[in-house]
Amino acid sequence: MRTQHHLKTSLYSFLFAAVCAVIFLISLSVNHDYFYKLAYDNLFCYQLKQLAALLVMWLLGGAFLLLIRTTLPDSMVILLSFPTGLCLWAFASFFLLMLGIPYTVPAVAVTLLAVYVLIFFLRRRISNERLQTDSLRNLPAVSPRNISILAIFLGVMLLCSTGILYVFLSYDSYFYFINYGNALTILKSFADIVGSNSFTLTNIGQFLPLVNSYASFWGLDQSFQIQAFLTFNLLACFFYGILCLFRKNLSAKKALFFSALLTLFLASSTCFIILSSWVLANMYCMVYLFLIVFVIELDSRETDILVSMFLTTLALLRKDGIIFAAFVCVWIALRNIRSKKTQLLFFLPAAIVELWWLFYVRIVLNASVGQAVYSSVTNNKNIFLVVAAIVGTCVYILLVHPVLDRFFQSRLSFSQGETLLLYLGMIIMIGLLTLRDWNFIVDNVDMTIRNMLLFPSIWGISAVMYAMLIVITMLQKPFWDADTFLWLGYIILNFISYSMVDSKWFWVNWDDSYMRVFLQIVPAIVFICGKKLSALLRSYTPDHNSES
Amino acid sequence: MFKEAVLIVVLLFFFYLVIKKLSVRRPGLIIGLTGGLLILFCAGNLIYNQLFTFPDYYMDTKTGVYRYGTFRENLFAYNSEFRFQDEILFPILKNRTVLLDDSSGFYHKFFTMFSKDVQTVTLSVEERETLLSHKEDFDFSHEFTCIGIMNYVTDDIPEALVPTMDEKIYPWVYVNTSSLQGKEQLIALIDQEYNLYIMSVDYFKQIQEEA
Repeated sequence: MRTQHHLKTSLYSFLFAAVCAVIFLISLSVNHDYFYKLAYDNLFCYQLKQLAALLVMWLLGGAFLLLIRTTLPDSMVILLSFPTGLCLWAFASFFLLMLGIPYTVPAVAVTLLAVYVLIFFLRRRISNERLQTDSLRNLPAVSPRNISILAIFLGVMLLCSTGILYVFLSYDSYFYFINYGNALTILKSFADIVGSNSFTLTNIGQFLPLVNSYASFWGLDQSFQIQAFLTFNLLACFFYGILCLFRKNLSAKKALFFSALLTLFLASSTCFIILSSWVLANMYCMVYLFLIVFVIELDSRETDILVSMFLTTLALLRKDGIIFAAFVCVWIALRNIRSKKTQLLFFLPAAIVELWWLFYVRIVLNASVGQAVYSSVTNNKNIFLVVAAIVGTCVYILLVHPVLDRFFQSRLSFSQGETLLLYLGMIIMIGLLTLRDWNFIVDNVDMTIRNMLLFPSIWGISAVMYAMLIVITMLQKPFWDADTFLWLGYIILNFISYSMVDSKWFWVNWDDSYMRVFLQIVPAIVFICGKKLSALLRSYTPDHNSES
Repeated sequence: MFKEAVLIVVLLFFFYLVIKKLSVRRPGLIIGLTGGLLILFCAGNLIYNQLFTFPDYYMDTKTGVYRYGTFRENLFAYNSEFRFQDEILFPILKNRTVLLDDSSGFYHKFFTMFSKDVQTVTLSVEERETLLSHKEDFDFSHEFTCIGIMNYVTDDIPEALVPTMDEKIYPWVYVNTSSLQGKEQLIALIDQEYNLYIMSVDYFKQIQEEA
């Protein structure tokens, strides 16, 4: 019976992949007019290259995960391969560019190969096992379930390579990510980019341009297919993660029902649709912020290295990415997972990369800007704030958190004490900002509310729905715990960061900078609500023991 | 907007009170209520997107491989220039050799990046004037914020282009697209206002001979 069910599932998956392949072929004729005019020699080759770019990236990440894995399930390997591949590509590219080695495909390939070989031998030495046994054990099992997931992934890759999926572009999408990424592949170094107005070096995170470079190396004009596939990947991880959480508390059918509904809710939210299809670093920040929560929640031995990689990615994605990374580390400390030394090790690569970048841009390249001087990362004020954030996070993890944790947990048995103290600190900061400039803060709050509620807004009608979902999860105690702090603290912290650090006036429009940063946490909000909901529904299910 | 926000918070508070009470009196209903609300949310989102988001989220499906989502009445997002660059300028340059007039050095690095090869040529004043007198032959023209695109490929911004940043007075790009069909070499030059002219070498030779 079970085998029959698996076969049926596999059949549907293959059917899906086959339909996607047909759409892929049809798209060749649909796209023909566009390419025919003046563009490309061979349309079939162009679309195949889009597919190959996705597939190779997925394999890059998959190979890495198979090399490091000890307890990571097969499904997680399949789900995390693509985002991990993107990280590896960007890290290797960044490393080469920073060392002044010409940025070419062979150079990146050799770097990655060196990393793979190093990991392979390190693992072999650590595990002290024979080569063949080790590598075979790490390969995913050829099970109907894995084959089904692979078929679905392949189908979506085909869909993403058709160009049917939509993207939303703005000035920044083109100039600071797509074209700049292309420029890097031609100029092959940061040193040739630097000029009298080095906006791309001083105001832009380097991760997304490097992803676009990857597409450029394939001879592609954009990386839209990567963005579309990453969106799907995020939703797949979301569904899988929520399903695992619900399965702990509810019956298989109910778990599937609620997981599907929550995933559909996220995928259909106007804010998610817009942010995930907008070619900006915000989308990637949203993915990696969520993936950190995802891998921590579905804890395995590989979590440490993955969290560390994703935090480093955050630091590379945006110029304020290190603030997000630092904040996530505070959240990890609050959750009390791993020792404080390990928590510090999570953060260390991100901090090193950030400081290295600041040193490189400010001292080595001496990059200046004619415009956007105040938002440049090379400003003394910004450098000071980044260093303060890094030192502050380290001090918090090593000294402050252990003391507060002991005080609240052991002496007062009040687990939410520390998070409430952190909220208090943030509220005091907003209070001080308000005292300094009342109009500025009131206006920024007003703009935030308008952006959430005004018609038509980037939120659509989702803001009220999210609020209602959160209200339902308030029934699950404790509410003011570390998980809630992840999103609420993030929203407040970024409000402070934008108001204080950037001294930025918010504005009413789809593209308000703070609102885009706010939206980056949306999948994590729904995920955490899902987690709380699963525990809540379990407690309200009659005879819940039989459910699980 | 504060009033509306306060009203929503009050309503959410009442909603909390209702479900709190319900969870005590009829705990079994919470699962159904949550499921029902989630279905309602999904349906609401789908209907809203269909009625409002996607019509505003204008899709250009006529000519593009990718659908360029743009928002109506959003000055920042909608700019036909984005399409122009992607659909006209880059495909023109790709796989073609550019013969660049030596007075157009400003664009040298840009063309080096986006074309197959760049060779510098020297055009006489007469040749340039002949070409500029055939402006009507250039079937495609568009404003061109070359500053944006050149941001990372130039060291200095010429004085003549500073107004393009301050006052949004953009140079134009003129392309003779029909002459480019099937041709691998194109010629590019600029005038004093940094307007850019692109045509095939054959067309250039032809008008010079006619002159």
